[in-house]
Amino acid sequence: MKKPLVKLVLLFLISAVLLAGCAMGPRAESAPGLSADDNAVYVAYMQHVYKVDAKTGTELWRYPAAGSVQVVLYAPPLLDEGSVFIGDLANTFHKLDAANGSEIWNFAEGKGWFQAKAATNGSVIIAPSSDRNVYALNADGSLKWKFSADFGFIAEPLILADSVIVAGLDHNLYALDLETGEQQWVSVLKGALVAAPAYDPASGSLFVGSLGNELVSIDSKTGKVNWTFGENGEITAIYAAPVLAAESLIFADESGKIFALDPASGAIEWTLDAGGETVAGILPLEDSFVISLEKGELRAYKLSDRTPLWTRTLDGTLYTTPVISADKIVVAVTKGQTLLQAYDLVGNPVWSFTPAK
Amino acid sequence: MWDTLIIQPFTNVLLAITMVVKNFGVAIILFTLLIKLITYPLTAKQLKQTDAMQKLQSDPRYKKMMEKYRDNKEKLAEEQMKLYKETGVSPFGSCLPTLIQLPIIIGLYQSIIKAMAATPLEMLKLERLIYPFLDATKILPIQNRFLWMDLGQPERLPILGIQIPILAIVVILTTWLQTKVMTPPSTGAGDQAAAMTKSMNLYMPILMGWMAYSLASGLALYFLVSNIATVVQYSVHGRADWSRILPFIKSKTPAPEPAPVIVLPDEDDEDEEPVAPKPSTKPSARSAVKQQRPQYKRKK
Repeated sequence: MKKPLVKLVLLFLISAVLLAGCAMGPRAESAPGLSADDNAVYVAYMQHVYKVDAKTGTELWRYPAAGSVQVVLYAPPLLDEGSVFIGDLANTFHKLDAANGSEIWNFAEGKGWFQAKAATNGSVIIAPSSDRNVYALNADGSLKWKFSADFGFIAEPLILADSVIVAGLDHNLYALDLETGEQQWVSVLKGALVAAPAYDPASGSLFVGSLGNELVSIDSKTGKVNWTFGENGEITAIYAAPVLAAESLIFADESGKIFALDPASGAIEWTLDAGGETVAGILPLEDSFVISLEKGELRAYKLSDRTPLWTRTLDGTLYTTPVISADKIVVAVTKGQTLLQAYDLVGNPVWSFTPAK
Repeated sequence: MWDTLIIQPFTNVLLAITMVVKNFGVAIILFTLLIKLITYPLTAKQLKQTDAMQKLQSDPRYKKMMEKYRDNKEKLAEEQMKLYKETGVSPFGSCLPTLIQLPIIIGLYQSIIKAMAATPLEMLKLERLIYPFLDATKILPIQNRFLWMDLGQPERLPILGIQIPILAIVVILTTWLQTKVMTPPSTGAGDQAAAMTKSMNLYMPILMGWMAYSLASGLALYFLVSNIATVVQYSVHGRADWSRILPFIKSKTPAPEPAPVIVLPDEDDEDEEPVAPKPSTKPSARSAVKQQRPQYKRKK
């Protein structure tokens, strides 16, 4: 008579523990956040951010040393003068020592996920959050100001001379005063902004794509729209920042179509079908560019005439823009056998990195 | 297949409601109620079958059979099937509607999770789920703010500087309420069933409360609305016994028949009918369970 009762109690306890274990951490599906400097690659994925030697693919450190389901990191780390700035999905923003991965300070006043790459000019750190706030932090991690909107921020901000440009999920591109956080101007787009804008210092123009199937050029001083591309249905949603290379504005839309536009007028210079859907950005190299496709392909093209140079196929999906470090092209794989795969500039595999458990 | 048949239509209905009411919290409430309404015929059928099964289990013939063949499982099953056929009760009648409802409930839960896309990858996946006739550019992202809650985050209401999980507490209370008013009285099938029910009544609120405490409040809101809707459905069907939590309300549950005194037969008189005592006058609900247990007497 007692046995079934004991079984039932055990079953419930096990279920409760399992569910509690699952439930305690943030429930989010995202892609690795990837950054690099000259010698190392930094990748944030799941419970850790890893520093990996760009020459050998060896893990140099991981933070936190002991992972916890409560702390999940997906934001691309920001690297600045020996420091790493990264936010997590436990609503905390950290400053780490790039040499050993130890925490210098953390900012825990956020009420939402930090999943965007931060920006800094050396004295102010801009940390956008999903809690509808953009936080400006002093060098010691204290709050300088915060700017609130109706929706969250998941795109990397851009610091110009005296202003910070932040792209919001509320379809708005904001210019804020870097000192006070006061709004200088706002430009309303058709769709949510999930990617950072690109900036052309020569013309003072900003270029930003949205989920509203458009790419817009905006004057960084006034917020006025210079031109809009995509009004005639030429493109689909844009999930990655455009890049300026070889005097062209290059970007890919979700369908995998790559466009090069004249930055001044928005006129099409050339287009290219990459052969698969993509949400990652383009990595410009000296005379070529690389794009990663969602289906796991990394493709390189000659910049001058778009001749295909090489294609590599990885096990897993690719949602992250590749980076370059120590003359290696490094790509982060989502749900793959390896987390990072490095190639030389002609596409030969050099190393791969799978975090040790 | 699962995504195309269940998740995609559910998510689109949820998003369409969100577009109309312009509030995701209200959309979750309306969507949960809509699904409850659509599945009500199944719930009603399930309740009807449960009633029939309970009546059957109170039948003296059933009890006698249970006693007679308690050491012969094969024969017992055979006799049970005969009785089910004879009385037109399906042993799976109450399980089948639940099984049909299960994918709908799972789909509802998953579509709420999908709609609360918070990362670029989740937004990409949501965008691809949206039917072309719904303009994804206008829908995305979903405004997660509802009352004091961010529906994408676990809910806490700061009161005097203390973060109080109001929604989780309400989910615990409504789950307890649900189990309390809906659990049918024991039919005397034995202590085992009663003990299982008692455990369920204890652990379900804790489990649901913990989930509501730690998961996004959009899901906790769904748990809450679902609990309330289920209690209302049972009440409409006359199956909620409010006297179990409100003593001043008279119990609608008919007082169960007192248990028969089963006189265990000797080897040579297997077919002898059990001797049942006269029913006592109005047994209390608490004593009903005790009374229903068969009283065994060894024939001298």
